[in-house]
Parts: sequence; C-alpha cells; structure tokens
Amino acid sequence: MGNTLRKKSRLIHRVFQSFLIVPGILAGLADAVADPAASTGNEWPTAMGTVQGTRYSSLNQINTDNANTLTEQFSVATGVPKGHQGQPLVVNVNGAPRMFVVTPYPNRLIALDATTGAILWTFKPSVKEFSQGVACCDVVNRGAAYANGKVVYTLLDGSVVAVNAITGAQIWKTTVGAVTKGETLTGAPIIVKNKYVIVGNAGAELGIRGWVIALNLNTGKQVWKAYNTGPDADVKINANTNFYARDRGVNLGSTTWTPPANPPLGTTSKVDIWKQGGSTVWGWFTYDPELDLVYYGTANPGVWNPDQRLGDNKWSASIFARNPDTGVAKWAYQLTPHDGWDYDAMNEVTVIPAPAGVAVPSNKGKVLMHFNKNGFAYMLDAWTGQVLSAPPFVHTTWASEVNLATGAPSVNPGMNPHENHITGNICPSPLGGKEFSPAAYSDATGLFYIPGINFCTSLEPLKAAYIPSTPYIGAELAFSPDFDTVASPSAPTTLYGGAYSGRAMGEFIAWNPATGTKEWSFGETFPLWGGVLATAGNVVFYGTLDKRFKARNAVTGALLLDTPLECGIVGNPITYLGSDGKQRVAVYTGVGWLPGAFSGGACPAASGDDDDDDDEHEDGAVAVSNPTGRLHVFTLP
Amino acid sequence: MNSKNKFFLFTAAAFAVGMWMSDAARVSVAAVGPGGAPVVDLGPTTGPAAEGRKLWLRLNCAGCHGAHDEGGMAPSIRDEADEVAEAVLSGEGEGMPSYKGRVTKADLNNLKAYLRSLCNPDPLCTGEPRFTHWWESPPTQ
Repeated sequence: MGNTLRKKSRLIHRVFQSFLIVPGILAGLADAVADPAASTGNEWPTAMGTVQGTRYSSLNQINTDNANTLTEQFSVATGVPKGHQGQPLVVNVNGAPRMFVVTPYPNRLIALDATTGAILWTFKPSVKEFSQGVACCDVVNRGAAYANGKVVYTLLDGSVVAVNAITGAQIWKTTVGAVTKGETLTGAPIIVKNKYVIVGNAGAELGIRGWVIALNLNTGKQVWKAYNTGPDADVKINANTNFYARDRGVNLGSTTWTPPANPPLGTTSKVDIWKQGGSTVWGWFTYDPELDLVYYGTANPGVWNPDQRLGDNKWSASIFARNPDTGVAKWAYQLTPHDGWDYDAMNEVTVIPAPAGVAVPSNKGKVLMHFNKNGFAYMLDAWTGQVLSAPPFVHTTWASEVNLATGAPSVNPGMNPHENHITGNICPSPLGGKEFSPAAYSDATGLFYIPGINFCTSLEPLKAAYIPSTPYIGAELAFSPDFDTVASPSAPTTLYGGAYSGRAMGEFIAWNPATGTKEWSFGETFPLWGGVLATAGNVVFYGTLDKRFKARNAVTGALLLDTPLECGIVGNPITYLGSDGKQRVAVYTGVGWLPGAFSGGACPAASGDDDDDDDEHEDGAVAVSNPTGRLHVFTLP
Repeated sequence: MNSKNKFFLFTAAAFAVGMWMSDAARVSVAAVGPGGAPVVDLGPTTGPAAEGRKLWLRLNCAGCHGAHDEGGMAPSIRDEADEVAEAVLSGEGEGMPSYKGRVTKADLNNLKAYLRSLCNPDPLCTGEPRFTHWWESPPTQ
C-alpha cells in the first residue's frame, strides 16, 4: 500500500475522493448439497428462523418473477425510538398467525394479527431506567423466541421474561444480570428442546464478565450457568480435548490474562483481570438437534487496550459448542487470540450440512459457517471445532490468513496495536467486515448472503481505569472508509456532497461456502447494519441505512425491489404466511445513535395512520408525536 | 472546500465510536508531522481545565459523553457545567453511577473548568485541552 494511502489512514481524519466501479461478477450456482439445510415454513418461531440459524424460508409464492410487485400491506409504529434491531416472530396462536414485536427499551412486547396488522395487546414490563446509560451501543433488543405458548425475551436491565402468547400476561420473570455493574441483556434467546431458554449477557465495554445461562422454560429458574472467562469449573470446560493445541490446557480462562508489569496507579487490577474480561454473548445462539450442541460466539476481551491484558485472553473472541442439558463445553476455539481490534466472535454461527465436495473429518456431516468481524469466513467441523477453511470475505490488512494448522490468524507485521503508537489502516474496522446482523443461507442456491462492511480504522490504545458501571475501553479510534479500491463492487461516486473514492462502505455478498469465494457482490452506500432473509422463491431481502428495503435474485444478484422507507433499517427481514394463504415479508425501520449518524439521525414521528396526538393509544402500543421505529409488512397485490 | 481536503472526524476516544461527522461544524483538517505522527493541538496541558481533562479521561466520562463531550452513549453536557458536581456525586437515574468517594472538591472544580473550556462551536479554538495521555504529567499527546 502506498505512502499516500497510508497517510489517509492517520488518526481522526479521512478523505473522500472519486471512486471506482467494479460490477458484481455473476457466476454459477454452487453444487447441490447432499442434505437439505433447515428452513422455516409458514411461521417464524425463533430469532434466526431456524435454530440452525439459516434464516431460510421454504415459502416460494414471492419469487424472482413477482418480487418487483411487492407492496406494503400495513405499517405499525412501535411508539419507541432508537435502533430496531432483530425481527418479529410469527407463530400460530389459536389457529391464526400472530406476530410478536419486541421494542428497544422499554422493551414492550406488541402482539398483532399477522394477517391484518391489528394490534391485539401490548405487554409493558417494568425495566430499570438505569439500564439505558450502561448499554454501550444503543438500547436495542434482538428479538424473542417462542415455544409451548410462551414468548420469551430479554429486558435491557438484566432480566428475562416469559409472556403468555394468548393473553399477554407475564408467566415468569427472572433477573440474571447486575445492571449496576454494567450488565445488560440485548441478545435474542434460543429455546432448546422446548425445555431450556438460553441467553447471554452484554457489556464487554463496561468491564463485565461474560456468561451464558440456561433457564427452565416453564419456571424461569436457572438450570446452569457457564462463564466465558475464569477457571475451568466456571467455564464448564475440559480444554484438553479442544482441537487446537493453543486452545488446550488447564484454566486457560484465567491463566491467559496477565496484567502488565507496571500499570499506573488506578488503571489495572493486579490480579484476576479476567473478571473484567468481557467475552460476553449479546448476539445469537444456534443449535443442532442431531449433534445436540448449542453454539455461540463470545465478544471482545475487556479492556480494549491489549497492553493491559497480556496473553491470549481466553475465551474472548471464541466459539463454544455446549451440551444444552448440562452447559458443559464439547469444545471451544478462539478465533482471534489477544484481540486488540475488537473483532469479537459474537456473529452468528450457522449450522448447515457439509457442502458437496467438503470433507468433514469427524464424519458427522455438519459444518458451521461464521463470518467473523475480522474479515475471515470460517468453516468449522461442527463436532470438533476444526477449521476446514477460512478465506477472507472482505479486504483484510491486519492478518494475511488463518493458519489451518494452528487455527490462529497470521497477524501482519505492525498490526498489533500498542500504547503510545497509532496503528493505522486496520481493515476491517471494529465495525467488522460484517457486524452482528445475521447472514442467510439458501438451501436452493447453496450460497450465503452476507451484509458486508468495508471500513478501516486507526487505533491507539490508551490506559484505562476500571470503574464499575462505566465504559472500560482505553482506545482512541478513527474510522474511515476503505480507500483500497481493488476489487471493489459498485460504490457511490459522491457522498455528503463531495466526490468519493473507495470501496463501497456496504457490500451485499453472495458467498459460496463450497469454494470459499464470492459468487457476486453489490456495493451499498452505507455499511449494511441489517440482516438478510433468503427464500425458496430464490429471492433474498435486506435493508439499508439509507432507508431502502431491497430484494435481489438469489442466483444472479439482480435487483428485484428497491423500496424507500421513512427511516433506516438495522433489523432483519422475515417471511411468513397469513391466514389468507398469502406470503408476507416483514422488516423493522428505526436506527439508534451509532448507525443513525450515517442515515440522518432519529426516525420521524408517526403520522397519517394514527388517531390522536397522545404518546400512547389506549392499548399502549403506539406513540404518534415522538420519533418512532416501525414494522413494515409487504405482500403481493 | 474541495472534497479531497475534506476530512471527516470519526472520533471516538474511549470507544464512543463517534458519530458520522458530516456536519461542517465538525470538519477539521489533519496535519501529518515527521514520521507520520499526527500533529495535534494539545491545548493547555496544565491548569484547572487540563486537570479536568485528565479526570474526564481517567474517570471514563469520555466513554459515555464522548472524547471531547460530543455525546455518544450519554449526551453532551458542556452546557451543564454548573450542575456537574451534583451529577457526579449523586449519579443520574438513567445510567450514570455516583462517583461519591472517588472525587474531591478540587476534582469537581477542575471538571467544571474543563467543560467550560470546550470549544463550541469552533472546533479549531486553542483554549480546550485536547490531549489523550492523561497519565503523563504534563501530557505529551
């Protein structure tokens, strides 16, 4: 990379120039897979559609021939501003499809007739307001799960609640996180075997200690709890059976956390720094019924400053496979040891049958796909955690490859951040080559569809002091678009009134897991912050921060639908069948403080379809005078 | 301004990953010194405002309110300098912990001085302490 470009990467300031268009390259389909991947049918009963995390629907009324005729059937204001991440659920209740929408704080649950959009009831839990201030990255919620007549979801203040799907009455509420320490809950639970509700905590940026917990679906009582840092007994792991030598040993969750020799007064605890080691679980869980394993990834280590936590810092930035009955880890694999870049591993871990031509050493026939923030597309043996392939899916400057013999990335010289030094041109940035927004896998095409991001950063670690309930970061960051234009997909030529040159900040990618290559990709003006839906109609759906809801041909990538909405999209589309037998697609609008900066800030207030100017209707669901997120539902004419 | 010379401030400091600074008021110009190190106007490195700046970083105020109080997890509070002592001692119900026992009366006065020094709306003024190495005395960066 030339010196000119290096200068562009200096701390704080960035240049926009003219840009280069490289059209998406169309290619053929992947080979057919041996076994079908999991798909949803008429309902959408869990956050990822299927417990395997495919976000793939077998519905095919909406197809490549008619997707361009989709029109909005109804839209409902949630009455809550902020980022509407996640997605609704749709399940049959009393013989009719019912939709459940979880709002950002104050975490209301709105039940609607999924066919008409009529609001049936709103559950309004009591949520401690203090939680708003300790949620690092907006007061979001990533959705609910459903089983046995119960809608279960997390509250920002560290509680989990189960609600009667018919009546909207609370069945149980269990507090599992300490909000006064900075613990919040923003992730979507998963329900396993109709017995266990599994959730994880958020707050790695506040120096908390990550964990996952299983609650009894019927009672809300704790079944097991496993930490992601600390001694083996706490982590519930025998690490001597892990696949990679680097991940084997005793009590690695505590022995790989060494404080610096001479920390300044008040900056770093002398011992047990793993207790502030982050490694939280705020994204998604998946489960494979055949292997009977629950999968999830952990977040970044705390504190961000890597010089204050020497060692690998296990089990941050790792993937776990756990027995859902006991919580005991079958294996763990750390993707980014000593993560100094905020790469985490909390992105979704999708279970699919091994693509044709991919040998699975365990002979179990299942692989995991994980598109990490660090820019590499990991395919793992689902039974052992062995990495089968890990090519980059976006531009990566921080590491050249993932060494398949060691499982560790080969970090490029000079790309490990240290105090008193600005490490420039780190690509991907802490936004990741892909953020938490989930990809989708189509069993019809054998392709993954990734909401990609092309951003870079300069980073200087700073000394930080741990003060409970305050951000424990220690880093100065400067984000920039990726000015390397090699192989860039189509990107805007102008941005914010000036000429722009660089990779498209967002990139919608079709990824072939069999070959580990892009089939095609298309640039988007802003980073893609919402998830993807794939359907058997060979249509894929996603939303953008510049307020567009889009559908593309899953085979060719051709744009089928491009609908403007009133606000940016950070949510994940779903599809379901109404009681009239018509397929529908639903997505949220509503952005929070971080992505909102790209898309013009808060959403507009509701208007036009509401009856009064009060903050709430009688059912408590809809505010009309304040900025609000919305549910949008589309169907064919 | 020629767009090639238009620089966008993605500040963040202490994580507050910063807003997309498309607002012209937040656009400033970078300079690169010998060896590629950024030349930053540190502003005052001694005095009450500088001591307040050290506290702003050491007490993690920057993590919520922004490296330069531009807002983030929590709002900008530069217009509330007179109330900062009460807020720091008592906390705020919407998520700010109490710092009682962690700060002295002198600390509170220094924090107030820092907030009053912030250069709003002029981003290029020289009266605001801008250093980040709070642990150094005097700070060098």
